Amino acid sequence: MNAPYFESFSLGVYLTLAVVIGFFFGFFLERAGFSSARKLTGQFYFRDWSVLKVMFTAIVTAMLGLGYLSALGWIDMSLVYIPPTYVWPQLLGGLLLGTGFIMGGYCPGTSVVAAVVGRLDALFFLAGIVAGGVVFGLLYPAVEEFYVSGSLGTLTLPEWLDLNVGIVILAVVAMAVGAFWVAEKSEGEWDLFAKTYGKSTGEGNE
Amino acid sequence: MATETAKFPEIPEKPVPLSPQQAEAMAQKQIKKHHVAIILLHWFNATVWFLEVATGAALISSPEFRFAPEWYIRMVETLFGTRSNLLHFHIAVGLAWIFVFAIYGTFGFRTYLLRQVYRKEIALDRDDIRWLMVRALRLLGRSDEPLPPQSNYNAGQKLFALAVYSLVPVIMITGLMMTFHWGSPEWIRAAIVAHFTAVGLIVSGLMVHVYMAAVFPEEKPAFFSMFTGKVNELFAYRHHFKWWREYKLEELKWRRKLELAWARTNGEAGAGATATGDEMATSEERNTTFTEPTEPLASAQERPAAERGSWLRRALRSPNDWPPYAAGFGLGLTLLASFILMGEGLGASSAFVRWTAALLGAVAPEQAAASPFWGRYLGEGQSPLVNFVVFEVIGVMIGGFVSGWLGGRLKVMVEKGPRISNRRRYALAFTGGMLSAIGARFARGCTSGQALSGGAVLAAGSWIFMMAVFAAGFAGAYLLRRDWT
Repeated sequence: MNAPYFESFSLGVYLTLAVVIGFFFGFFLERAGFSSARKLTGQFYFRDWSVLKVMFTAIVTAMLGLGYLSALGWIDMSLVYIPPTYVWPQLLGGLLLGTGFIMGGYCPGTSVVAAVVGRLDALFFLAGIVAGGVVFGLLYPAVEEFYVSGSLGTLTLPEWLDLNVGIVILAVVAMAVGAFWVAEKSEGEWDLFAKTYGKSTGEGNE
Repeated sequence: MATETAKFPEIPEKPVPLSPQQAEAMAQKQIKKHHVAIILLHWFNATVWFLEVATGAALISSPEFRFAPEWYIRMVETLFGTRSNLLHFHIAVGLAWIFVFAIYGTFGFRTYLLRQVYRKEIALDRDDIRWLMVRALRLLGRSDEPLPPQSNYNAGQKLFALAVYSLVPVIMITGLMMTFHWGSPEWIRAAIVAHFTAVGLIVSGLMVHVYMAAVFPEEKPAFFSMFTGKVNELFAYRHHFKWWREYKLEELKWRRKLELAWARTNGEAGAGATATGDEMATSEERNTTFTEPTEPLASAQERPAAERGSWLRRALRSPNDWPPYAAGFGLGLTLLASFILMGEGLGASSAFVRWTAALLGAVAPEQAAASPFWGRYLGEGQSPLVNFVVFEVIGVMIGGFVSGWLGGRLKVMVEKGPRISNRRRYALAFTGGMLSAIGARFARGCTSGQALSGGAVLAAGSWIFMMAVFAAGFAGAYLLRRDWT
């Protein structure tokens, strides 16, 4: 039988697997150092590009794996959930989340990991998430029209750009490699942090 | 070279006749020729070639190119059930092959392909050209001139390697073109011909390669070195003299350094006599090279737990962050497993919404069910908590805790920039949490659900979201620079 397999699991197996997958998710996030707000925000100060490196490595790994399996017909991509595109709310959502990220030092997933290894600030971030959810729920009737604006359905980049999937995958890999190169240069010889914020990388990191 | 000859007179510059005792001693001594990684890569490559040629021969459908006998094609097809299975197998093995060599080529390009393989192993020099001429004349029985000395690979092997290195990319690219239908039908037809021709050229070379390795008696040690990684010194001396000479020079230099260091630690003033003109050159290296080995030996007993044991144990117990590419690869495999098993990627923010919905449903069931936002989660016919992301986040807590515990990173503390108070940090964290939750609701996911998972399935909105996160982050960072630097 071809992947994905969720339809063949009983509820107990399904939820157990969810915990197991979450375990590895949390484990690798913590091992990457993403339980530290300073490490995470270091990305936006050009000081430590781990966020970009980890994210793009993960995206490229999963994307290549999925591309490979679907090209061989071993996974049915029509059964895999692809988040639908709502251009304007997603643009605004990204800007809000980016702002929240740099203010709070975490994103929702990493704040969970930071809280369980004892970061008190992460507990405040988590409380903020719950409060933000309630605020959104209360405001929802007012913003509902905007919430569904710019709807393009489940749209993938190859469909949007009218390109072959293989070409888009290649382009994403090329972009990731380019980003890694910029990241290494920026941490190394360019020292963008020093140039932008007038300090050496070690300073202010204690 | 000339100065080295003066310094190491015991190593001849040209092959000299050996006494029977010398030859016997050299035949007994094994020296390292191939790294384990190269041996594994060689046999991986050999397996792939065997499988691909065996299946490829049966796959050729055009009657002009079809060379395999009818019974063979029928046999292979029966083995795989259907022709389409056979094609899938051929493609799967080929893609795995491309993947492995792409990794090797990407990460090893400068060190291995350029420096090691190109400059040292396959670039032809003057001796090689002469070797090819003499070898050809000897095969024809027209000359009994001795063959010029050769380095690690002889000129015949080098020529074959050059052909392979230039033809393999052709095979890979044309294979991909045929698999994914890149380009117009004319291009694909041309790709089929190029694929077939390139394979044919390499296979004809491979026949010589396999014959030399497995049948030709003189090359037996080279064949076994593909398992053990070692050849006997006599074989190296006779067949790869230049490489043998380099090897011996390295060995001798190393031995002299050791002698020098030994003499120094024993405080013997006269020991310098063992080193000829080399002493000045090595005196600088000595400080760096020979003080180091003594320290880990002395303190081996007291090393912390994180530095002992296998690499896996060290990686798990390390208090330091993993290299981002390693952690990212692990995360990517987790994400891939999630897609394969659960049919969706990873998430985080929706778990909080569902917890809140469940809480509101318990406290104020009527109002919550009537809300257009919360009602959606409560109206699923079961508890909003029976959900993949809710349980996955429980796993995240356990996994994060286990990682922190193994690495000794569990610590109750406040993370902040050096110039701000705890209270300001808490206020910022709370506000940031609120903003990111509201942002995640508008975007229908956060960094995990949208950027990471949606990014991997190439959802257009997820990439818009990701760019917006980075843009806001970089802009906000400048405004908040007093808080973090």
